[in-house]
Amino acid sequence: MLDEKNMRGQVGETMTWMVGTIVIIVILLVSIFIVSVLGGKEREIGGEGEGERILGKSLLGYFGTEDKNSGELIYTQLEKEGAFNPSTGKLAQDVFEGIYHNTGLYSGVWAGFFEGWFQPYESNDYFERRISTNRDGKSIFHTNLKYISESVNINKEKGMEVRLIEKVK
Amino acid sequence: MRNRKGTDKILAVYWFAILFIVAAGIIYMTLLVYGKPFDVREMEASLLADKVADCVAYGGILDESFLTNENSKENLFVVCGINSEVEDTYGWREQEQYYLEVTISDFKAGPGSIYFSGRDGNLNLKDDCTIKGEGLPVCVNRQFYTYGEKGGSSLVKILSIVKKTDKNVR
Repeated sequence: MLDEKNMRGQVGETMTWMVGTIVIIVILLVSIFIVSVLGGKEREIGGEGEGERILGKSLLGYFGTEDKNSGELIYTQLEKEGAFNPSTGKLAQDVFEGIYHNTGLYSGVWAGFFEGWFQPYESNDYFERRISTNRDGKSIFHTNLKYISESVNINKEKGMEVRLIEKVK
Repeated sequence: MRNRKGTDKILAVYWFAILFIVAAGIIYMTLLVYGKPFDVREMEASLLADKVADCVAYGGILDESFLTNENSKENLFVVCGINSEVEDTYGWREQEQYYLEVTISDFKAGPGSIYFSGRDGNLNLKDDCTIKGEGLPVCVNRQFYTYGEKGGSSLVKILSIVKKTDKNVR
């Protein structure tokens, strides 16, 4: 009677261990699968926002361009007027749309003005519409939308910003 | 009582077996995450392109001395003060791991109107930029607008290539 009870107890304990082992192995295999999916990718560093410096160069080059019609620098005109005129707007289109839209890396290009850092952007006739992202990079419509931007204060009231929206990979 | 001791011994073996399985699993997962090297070549190629961009145009204005310097056409590394020395591994010293190319064209006339072209490094790497696949050099293309002191706007295109596949790709 005692032996039978002992035997049953041992069988129960062994069963617990066997089930426990199977559970442990299953958890381990699931973990390995998750890690291989998430962590087994090639790890590349770089690529994000690296074009920013080059965009800054283009913006500086644009500011430093001498307008043949008025004989003034583009920056001087923008500083005075606080907006694009036909000459400065056309050149901005040629420079920013022309160079960056054709690279195939960016889905949208916008350049324009803003009054104060927390004020909305002003629309203009030279760039279709402001790309719908907030200043913190979070998009209103697409959560994965990333962009690089370069902005400069052109006078006490206004700043100019150029924004390139990266293509969603 | 004797029977109980036998069960404990078997369970101890079992316990150790599970311990080893779990340990092996953790080691395997760690290797999965950290076993592959960090590929920093894109960043390196971008830095090279940035450095060359500063050399060609500073503050948005095209550097005329860069254009007139005869060395700019064949020795970009020297002219731009870039050290192209590499580690003495995988035979990198014998085969150059970098390639740099700069073309400057008249902005208004279009990209075909190239009036300056300079390069340096291993030209053979350039062919690999047209191929897609693994274990190939990283190619970074950059272009920007600049204005010359003597008047006239230009489009500067920079191609920067880093090979170093032996260490960054596995």
